[in-house]
Amino acid sequence: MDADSSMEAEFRQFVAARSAALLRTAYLLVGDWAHAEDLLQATLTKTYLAWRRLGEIESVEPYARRVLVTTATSWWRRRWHGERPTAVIPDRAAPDRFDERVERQALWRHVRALPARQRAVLVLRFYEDLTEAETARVLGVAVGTVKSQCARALASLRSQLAEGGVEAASRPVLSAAPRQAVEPDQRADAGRA
Amino acid sequence: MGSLESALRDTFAAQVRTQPALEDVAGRAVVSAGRIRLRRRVLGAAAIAVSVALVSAGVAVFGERGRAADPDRLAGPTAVPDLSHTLAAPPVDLLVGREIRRTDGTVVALALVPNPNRAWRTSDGWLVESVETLGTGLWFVDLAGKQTAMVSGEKVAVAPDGVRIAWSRAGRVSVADRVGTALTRTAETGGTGGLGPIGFAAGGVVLGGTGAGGADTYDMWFPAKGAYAVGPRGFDRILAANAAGTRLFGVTGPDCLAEIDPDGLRVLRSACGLGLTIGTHAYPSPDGRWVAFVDADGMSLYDLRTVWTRPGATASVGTFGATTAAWVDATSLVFLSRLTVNKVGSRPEGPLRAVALVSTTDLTQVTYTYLSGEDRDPVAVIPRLG
Repeated sequence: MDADSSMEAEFRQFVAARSAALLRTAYLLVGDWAHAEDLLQATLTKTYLAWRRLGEIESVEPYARRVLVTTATSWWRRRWHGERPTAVIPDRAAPDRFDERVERQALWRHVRALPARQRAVLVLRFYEDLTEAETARVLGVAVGTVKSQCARALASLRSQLAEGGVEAASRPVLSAAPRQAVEPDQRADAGRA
Repeated sequence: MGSLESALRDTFAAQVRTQPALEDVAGRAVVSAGRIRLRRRVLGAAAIAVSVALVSAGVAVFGERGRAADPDRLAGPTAVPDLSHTLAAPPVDLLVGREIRRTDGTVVALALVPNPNRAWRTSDGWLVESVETLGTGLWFVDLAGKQTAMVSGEKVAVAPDGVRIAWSRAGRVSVADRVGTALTRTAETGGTGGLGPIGFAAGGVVLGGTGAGGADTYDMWFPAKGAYAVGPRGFDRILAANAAGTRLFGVTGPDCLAEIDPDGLRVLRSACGLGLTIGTHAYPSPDGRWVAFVDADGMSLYDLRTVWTRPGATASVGTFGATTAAWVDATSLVFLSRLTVNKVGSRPEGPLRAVALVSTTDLTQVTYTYLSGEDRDPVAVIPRLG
């Protein structure tokens, strides 16, 4: 097997293992599946272009995640216009209570309205479960910036929810039990449970 | 850990509970990367048309004036273009990945510009915005393809005359005239509270950004009056200025278009119920009569003479998510649309992008030129300035 074939095989192995998780993060960053697929495709292309210099496969995923987030925040400024608040709650197979779904939908709608960088911080902190320092590394900003962006985003969400009659601090539906510590792979897959 | 944080975890998890299947994303990435490597090898040979897939075809879609075109006629099998036919190139330049595709079919390779994001055609070349590691850059590309970095910072804006440019960097906002690759008549201010330039109107610079509490915030800076002074700040969003720069259009309240006096950011009149969303972008026509909105629902055209009292859309082309637009002249608008596989039947290539041309003199006809889905690079139409 020549070097190019070997590289492609390694790349395909990486994609098979991680593309589903990256797609979910992409969706949370851009808000619809079609654009998330575009974002994932762009990310994987950039990752493959950089494959040789990435060296060990263990370093690939952090690189891919960083490309995913920075590409999403740059696209947002001009290209992604797919967000649209919805008044219709989609049917779900999951046995959620109706009001839970309504309130999640309200929260998701407000998250989607946040500036791209603030939303990226929330996704990295509360979906990827990254620390503030890890989030700062992915975004290429200072830890202080992560803290301030996160604080602004949470304040904005609290304000929006309050305006809509949802008090995040007091409603049980918005105060689920703390998550258990999980391994990175489990974190990204948690949403499929 | 507060309850909102827990709710966010739950909400994110619920949103991705189901996801679409992916088909050979690795294979497409390998092919795409190969194409990019090929292009990099031939950079500098701008006259060589690189073999990216520009497949053109056309289809005319007819709808009734004042009503949205029939979605089925746009989305159904009959709307699938016959890709064996070729039409002329779109009547505006396109930014496709790292190249500018000119209306005459030639290609300008953007060898030096990192991550081209949007572009403007000027009388002497193009201004290209780049997404860079630490922010945003603005490059000038002359007609021979020579690329020169002009400014870099957090935000950049280009005036409709193609001459004035503004940028923000490290808490300072600057404005200057561009003459070729030189900047003259530079003025600078600070104290904008993190707001940066997003456009020009009434001889001033429209500033926008995230204010206290994370909300979008806007204001004006008039360099001729000296340093920036905090103005009334407000509005949910400012969308665009009219071509003359005498009025701004913004969003106020729930789904209301506002006409705004740039001096004092005072709302002059408004029209509600236009279906504006957070993703809506506005493109006023050069003659000031029309405003086109593009967003996930497509393109809607409003007559600014009547919208304030009768806000129904004059023409609406829906079903496709639209992204950027540019007026070719006072009566022709080009916008970039997006079709997905399920909208075009069995076509295997994935998303298609279409460049659509609509004429304000014949609102019932829209002509599409399709870009092949093989090329998944970002695409933008390039408006002509000056």
